[in-house]
Amino acid sequence: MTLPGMPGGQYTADGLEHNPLGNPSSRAEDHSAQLEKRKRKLEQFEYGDHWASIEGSGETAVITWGSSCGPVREALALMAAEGIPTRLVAIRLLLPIQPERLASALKGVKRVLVVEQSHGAQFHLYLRAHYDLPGEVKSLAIPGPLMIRPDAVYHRLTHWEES
Amino acid sequence: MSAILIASVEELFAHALTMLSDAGECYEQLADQMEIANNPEVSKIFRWLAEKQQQRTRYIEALAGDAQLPHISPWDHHWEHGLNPQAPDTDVTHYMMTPYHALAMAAAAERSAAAYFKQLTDADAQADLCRLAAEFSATAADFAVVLEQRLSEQPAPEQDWDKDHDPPVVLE
Amino acid sequence: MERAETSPSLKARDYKSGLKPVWCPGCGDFSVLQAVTKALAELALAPEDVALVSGIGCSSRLPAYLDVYGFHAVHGRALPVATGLKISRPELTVLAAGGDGDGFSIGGNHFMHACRRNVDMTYIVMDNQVYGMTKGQASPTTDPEWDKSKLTPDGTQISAYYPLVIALASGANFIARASSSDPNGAAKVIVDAIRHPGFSFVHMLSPCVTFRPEQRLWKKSVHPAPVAATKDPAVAARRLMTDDNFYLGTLYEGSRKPYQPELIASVDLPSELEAGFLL
Repeated sequence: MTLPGMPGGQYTADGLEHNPLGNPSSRAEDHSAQLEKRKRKLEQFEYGDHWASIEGSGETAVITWGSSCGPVREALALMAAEGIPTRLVAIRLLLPIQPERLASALKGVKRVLVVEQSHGAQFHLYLRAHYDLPGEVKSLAIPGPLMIRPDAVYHRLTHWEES
Repeated sequence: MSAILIASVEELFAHALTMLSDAGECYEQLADQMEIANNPEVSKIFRWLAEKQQQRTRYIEALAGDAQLPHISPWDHHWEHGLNPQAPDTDVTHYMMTPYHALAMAAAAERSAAAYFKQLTDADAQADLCRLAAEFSATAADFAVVLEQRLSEQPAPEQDWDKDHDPPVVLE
Repeated sequence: MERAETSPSLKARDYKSGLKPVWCPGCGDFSVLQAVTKALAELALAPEDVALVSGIGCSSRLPAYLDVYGFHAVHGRALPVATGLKISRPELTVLAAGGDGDGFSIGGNHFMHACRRNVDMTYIVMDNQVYGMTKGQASPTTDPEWDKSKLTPDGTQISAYYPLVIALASGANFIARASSSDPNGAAKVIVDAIRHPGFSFVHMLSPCVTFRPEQRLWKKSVHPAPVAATKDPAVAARRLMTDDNFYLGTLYEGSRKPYQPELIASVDLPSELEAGFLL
C-alpha cells in the first residue's frame, strides 16, 4: 500500500467492485475473483483467542454475544458466589464459524443456555444452523428496549426445569 | 476576438497546437464513449479523427522547430467565448448517433477552425504570420471538404434515429 | 517520505488514469474531467501530491479517471474524509467532488459544516439537478415543477436548494460557479479555487443528457458574472440570492483564516499505520 505523497503510487480506493489494480469493473469474472479473495482473507485470517471470551467451568454453559455479555457475566458471578460453577462462551466472531473451537470450549457441557437480546431468537437459530450444541439446549431471548437483567439469566439457570 | 490579439508566429503556433491537441483528445474521448456504448462504427470514425489531429500536431510541431512557444493558460487563448474553434460541438453526442452525425460534427469543427485562421490573415499583421494562418486555414478547409465528401456518401439519419425500444429510462 | 525534487511539466492528459469513463455519451462530467486535468496541469502539481475524495453517484466516479490519489467509497461523506485527510496531511492538495444529491442531500449537513470549518480544500459539485445513477429522481436542486419522474408526477412542489446561498451563510471562503460547456473557463475557476486559502466551493453546472436532456441548452443560458467577485459577504448574499443561477466565475472571495489544527501525531510508512489495526 502506498500513501498520498508517494510518487508513482497513485491509486483510487474504490468502493465499487474493482479489479486487482483497484479500477472499477462490472465484469462478472472480476466480481467472482474479488468475492473469492475477500472470502479467503476472512477465512485464512488467524483470529486466535479473540474469536470468543471463554470464562469459568462446569457442566452448564451460557452462550451469548455482544451487549448481553455484561448481564450474563454478572449472573454467572451470582452463581459462582453460591458455589455453582458455570461457563461463559461469549462469541465475538459470528463468521467465519469456528466449530472446532466451540466444541472444545463446550467439552463436558450438559446444559446450554443461549442468551440474546432479540425477539425472534435469531442468535439461537444461527447457532443451531452452524453448530452442533451438546446436551440440553434452551433459549432465553428477551427483546428490548430494556436491557437483559442479570437476574433474568440467574433465574433461568436456577429454575432450569421450569422453562 | 480579433486578429490583432495574436501578435506573433510563436503565439499562432501555440494556439494551433492547443486547438489540435484539445480536439484530438476530445475525439479520443468520443471514441472511448462510443466503444463503451457499443457503437463501434462511430467509435472507429472518432478514432480516425483523433489520429488525423495527431498527424497535424506532429506536422505543426516540426514546422515550429526550435521556436520558443509561449505558455498560454487554457482560458487565455484568443478564442471567441474562450471556446476552442477546432473542438467539435459535442451537443449531438448520443449513444445511438450515426456516422453521419460524427462526420457532420467534425466537418463543422474544421469549418470553424478554417474561419478562425482565415480571420488572422485579414488583419495587417506580419507577413509570415498571415502566411502561416492562411496555410492552417487551408488545411482545415481541405479536411472539411474530405469530411463533407464522406458525409455525402452517408444516408441522412432517419427521423427517429435516437428511438430506443429499451431506453435507459421511461419518462412518461 | 520520498518526494520528487521537481515536478516535470505535465500536460493535462498526463493527469488521466487512462480508464475509460462509463458516463453516458454527452454527459457534462467528461468536460469536468477535462477541466480538472487542465487545472492540475496549470498548477504544475505532482500527481502524487493531489488527493481527490468523492461520494457516490455518476459524478463521484471521477477519482478513478484521474492519476492522483483517490477515494470513492461513502455516499455523502466526501467532505468529512477530505477534511480528515487535509488536516492530517496539510501539504497535500485536497479536492472533494460529487453530485448535487450526494453533496446537498445525503451529505447536506457535512456541506454546511465543511463551509463553516474552512479547511483549505476545494469542493466541486457537479450539479445536474437529478439523481442520474438511480435512473432519474428529483434531487435537492431540482425545480419544484419538474414532473418527469414517476416518483414526483406533479413535481416535488418543494422549493429548490440554493447551494451558493447556503455555502455563503455557512461560512464558505470562496464561492464560484462554472459550467461544463466551457471547460477552459471551468479550469480557471478550479485553479482560483485551489489557490484560495480555506474552503472553496465550485458549483459546476454539468448536464445530465439522459434524464434531463433539456439541460443541453444550459450552454446557451450561462454567461459570465457581470461584476467582479466581491469580498463583502453582505454584497455576496444579495448577488447570490438574485442571480439567475447561470452566472459563471468567482462570485465571492472571503478572507477568513483557514482552520488547520496543530498536528499531534504522524506516521511515515504505511506499515506503521497498519500496525495500529493489528489485534
